[in-house]
Amino acid sequence: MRCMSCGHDNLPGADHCEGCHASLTHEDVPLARVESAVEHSLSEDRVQTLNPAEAVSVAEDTFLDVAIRTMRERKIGCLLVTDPEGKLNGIFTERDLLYKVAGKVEDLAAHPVSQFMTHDPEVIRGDQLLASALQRMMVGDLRHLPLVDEKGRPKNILSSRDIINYVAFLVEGILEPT
Amino acid sequence: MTKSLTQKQELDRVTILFCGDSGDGMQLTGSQFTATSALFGNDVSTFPDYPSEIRAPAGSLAGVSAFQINFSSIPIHTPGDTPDALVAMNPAALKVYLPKLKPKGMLIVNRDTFSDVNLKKAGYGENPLEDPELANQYQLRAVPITTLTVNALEDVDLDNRAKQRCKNFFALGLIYWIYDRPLEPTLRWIEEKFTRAPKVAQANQRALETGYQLGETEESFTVNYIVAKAPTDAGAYRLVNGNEASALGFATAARLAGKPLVYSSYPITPATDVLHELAKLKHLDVRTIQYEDEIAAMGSAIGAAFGGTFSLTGTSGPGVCLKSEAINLAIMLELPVVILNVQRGGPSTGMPTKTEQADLLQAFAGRNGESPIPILAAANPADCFDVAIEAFRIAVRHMTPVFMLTDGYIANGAEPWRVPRFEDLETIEVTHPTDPEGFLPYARDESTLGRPWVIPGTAGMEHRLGGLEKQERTGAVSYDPENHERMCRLRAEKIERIADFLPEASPDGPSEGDLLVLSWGGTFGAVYSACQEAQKKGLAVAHLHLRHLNPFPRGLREVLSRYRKVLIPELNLGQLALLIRAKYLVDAVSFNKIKGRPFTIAEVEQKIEEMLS
Amino acid sequence: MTGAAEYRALTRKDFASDQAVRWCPGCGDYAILAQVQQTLPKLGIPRENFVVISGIGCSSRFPYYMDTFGIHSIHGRAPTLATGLKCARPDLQVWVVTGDGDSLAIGGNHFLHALRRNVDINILLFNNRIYGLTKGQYSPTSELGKRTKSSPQGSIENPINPIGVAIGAEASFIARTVDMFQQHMSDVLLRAAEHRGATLVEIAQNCVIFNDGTWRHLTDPNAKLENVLYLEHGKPMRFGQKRQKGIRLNGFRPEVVDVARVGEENLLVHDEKAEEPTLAHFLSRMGPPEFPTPVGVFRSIDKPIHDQLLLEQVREAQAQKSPDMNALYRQGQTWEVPQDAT
Repeated sequence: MRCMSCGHDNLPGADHCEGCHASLTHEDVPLARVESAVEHSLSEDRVQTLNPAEAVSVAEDTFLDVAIRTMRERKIGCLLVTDPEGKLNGIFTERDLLYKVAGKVEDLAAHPVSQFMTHDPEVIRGDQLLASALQRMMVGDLRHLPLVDEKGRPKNILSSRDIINYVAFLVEGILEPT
Repeated sequence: MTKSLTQKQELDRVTILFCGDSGDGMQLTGSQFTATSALFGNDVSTFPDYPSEIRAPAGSLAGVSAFQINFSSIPIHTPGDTPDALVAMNPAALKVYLPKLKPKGMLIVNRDTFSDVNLKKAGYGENPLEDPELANQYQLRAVPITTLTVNALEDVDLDNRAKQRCKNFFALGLIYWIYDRPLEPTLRWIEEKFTRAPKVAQANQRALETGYQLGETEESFTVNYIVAKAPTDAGAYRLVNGNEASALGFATAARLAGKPLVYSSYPITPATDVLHELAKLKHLDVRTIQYEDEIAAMGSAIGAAFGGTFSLTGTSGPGVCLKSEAINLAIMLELPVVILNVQRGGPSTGMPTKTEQADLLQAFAGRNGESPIPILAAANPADCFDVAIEAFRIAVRHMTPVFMLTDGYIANGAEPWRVPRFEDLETIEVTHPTDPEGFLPYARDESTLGRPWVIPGTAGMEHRLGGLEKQERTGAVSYDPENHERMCRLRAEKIERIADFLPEASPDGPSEGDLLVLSWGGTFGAVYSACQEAQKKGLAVAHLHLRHLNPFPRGLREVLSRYRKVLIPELNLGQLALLIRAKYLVDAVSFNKIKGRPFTIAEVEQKIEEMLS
Repeated sequence: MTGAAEYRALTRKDFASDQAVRWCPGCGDYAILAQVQQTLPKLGIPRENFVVISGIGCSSRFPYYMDTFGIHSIHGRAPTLATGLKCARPDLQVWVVTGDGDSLAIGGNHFLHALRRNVDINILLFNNRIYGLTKGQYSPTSELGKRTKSSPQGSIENPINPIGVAIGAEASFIARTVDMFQQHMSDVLLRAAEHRGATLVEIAQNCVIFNDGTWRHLTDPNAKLENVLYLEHGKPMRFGQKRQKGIRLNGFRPEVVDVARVGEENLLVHDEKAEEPTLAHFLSRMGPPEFPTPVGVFRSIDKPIHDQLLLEQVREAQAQKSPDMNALYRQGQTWEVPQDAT
């Protein structure tokens, strides 16, 4: 390998440069695969690569008990709440349920979901970079990001689990069972 | 910045150990310091301690690389028992080498690398630099070497990583100030080596000078240590390690006889560098062949010798095991082949990178049947050159394979070698008889008992050799009982007669007295120095160092008898002692160290005192 | 130094030493010795330039019976001495005499590498499919189930064949002949001698005491024509009393066919010089009961020659740099201590 100090061309594996005796032992060790594959993906791949699941939407005036039952039956952690035109008004998540509803609301059938949803949620488009999505989720402490099309209509939900699964897939060969 | 006056202190000898991660450039630092000191006129002796792994993770204990140098105004023969100063570039290096530092020794540490991560890798729970005990026990100077280097190179157009790489020159500059060394040789060396990268050259030079300035201006550096020039014989000198010297010796021997040199070998630590050095010498008709295994290498060496070239093979202990059947064939064929064994820790795979001298009995008797073979051992790196030539001289004059023993310590350690003039060296006479009249393959020379070296291509002198016992003189296969005994005795006698051509045993010191210290191989430096100290104290101690282990030099029995006690220090469990006791019936005391490390002078001195009390 | 020997053609007698030959009466080695002694004089090389190196085994007694330079060395290691000798003295003609045990058991490694390196030596492998000298143990070429002193219930080891190993080692010249085929052996030996590079000549040899008849199907005058395929470069592969049978390639398998039925133009044509050893490999596996046994030169290609390359590198280096020992000593870090230094 070429010496990074003096430019001399050394045989592969040489410990010291033949020209200037500089140590080469830190220069020829290959970088870990993990770093590059994940870094590469996050900076190149788009959100739609992860094939986020189709979102489940409910109308603003859906009552809580129906909303909660829907979440349970569909095994999802997040509901999109839309207005009659289909525009996204808010999202209602497990966290909303935990912090705003559980133990605080007596009659679930008496309250609409719009009362407890998060208004004007963060959204992301499918053609945006994964790195972007990751940043939003980190900064906003979000576990779900609705995907909207060019007209702002919600179609899918990107969840933190999608990201976990994808990264695990990228480093599959290196992960060791614990 | 003004600083209070620097104290000057004269010392006759200083040992410095540079250590750091393998990427920190300590080998370069050490070798530059050595070159500067040698040029300055000191006597020097060095020993590198390489990492045990090929590529260890950065900052790990396995990745520590060190270089020890002993420099002086008096003659020295070892790289120093314990360092007076330690330069540690990272926590792992400090962890490994701090125990070796003398109490109150100078301790220079690069504090920038003592991060939590690095401390953890080194196995430190707490940061040792923050322990006040450290500053009590040693003269601690924790310098932010990396930061100061990068700062000094602020306006140099290099990336941060390249600037950090210059930190070893910074450390070198600082050490140069402390030990009053000139900067010019290293500045010039940088100029030469970095012609293709002028920015790097500039950076390295600046780092060196800035390090030096730190010594000059920092209050905490109060003393300049002065080590004056040593009295040295005039001549040209070169730093050489044992493997390099061996290679040069072998190439020289072949040239002295006007022959090609054929080196057949297989890579094995710590002998591989001999192959690498000889592979560069094709222009001298040195033919190196790398074989599929050690046995093939020895077989090839025999074939090449049969063909009439100077032939040798080089290996370490495990390789000698493999070669033993073939070595025996060479003994039976009575062909000149040199077998170099660079000894290492054994048995079996043992400790490949550690030194030992436990293959003597193997060389002496590690074969089936009565198989006598001459054995020579080198005493220090420069001695390898002379021993290599002598090994060939003996092989060719007596028509026998010859063992040459060195060890990992002298193979890798370096010291100044007074460069000879090739024209002044004694030629090696070689005769290949060409007269078929009365030719018998096993007829023997009257004085040496060597048989004629008749080589293929000589008309009318065709003959067959083999491993089966042969009839005296004719060399035909013979199972005759009387013949076999005569041949066994002849082969033994042939080796005994080598002593006729050797100088008599002559000890260094009083010719009789209380104690004779008998040594061989790479222990020379420590034993010689210890005996010198004892003699200075007026003790009746003499030192005899053996280059020839088989046959022993004439007069040895006499010499042994003139001292009340005989001490044999060896890096094994008593191999020379066994031979001496058996042959001379003398109750020699065996002093053993078998730790993969050489003797320190202090250890031998202490034993000498013990023997005399 | 004696004057140059007058040139006269060498004869077989020049190559016979005075040693009484000690092989068992009827041993195939006698025939081989006779043929080698006949053939070497034809090469026009002075006798003193021959060296015969053997290992251990009955075959390895060979050098004693040849009046040339020779070494009876140690078991399996002859190719290593031969390589070292040839690299030291490329001017010599070096012959290795070995057996199936010496070269494929203990010597397997060296056999492989000598052929791989393509050192210009000739390896004569006397294959009798048994260990003769040590009195009758099975060898790496003995058949599965072979009953011997060390395998009373039959050998449980699969054999290999020397030609196959040589192909795997990328040998540049591979041939087979039979101890009884005097003329054929002579031709093959001459070709091996002329070839530049490592040559392997497997000689099917009969051990009359411990494995008599192992090659009878090749030597029995009644059977041999049906069982032997004489290989000739450029000629279609035909054998049989009336050369009525041939070898054809069927997909990836060779098969024995009736020439009349199939037509000569559809037979496999032998090509010694083929780039790939595929054809040689097919041939190496042919033998009873389905196939005849091929004899002759299987493969003869040109490859870089080890000892030649070594010498070339030396000559090149010598042309570029003068042999200045004093300059060599002063390489590296040197300094002068002047005369008046105190």
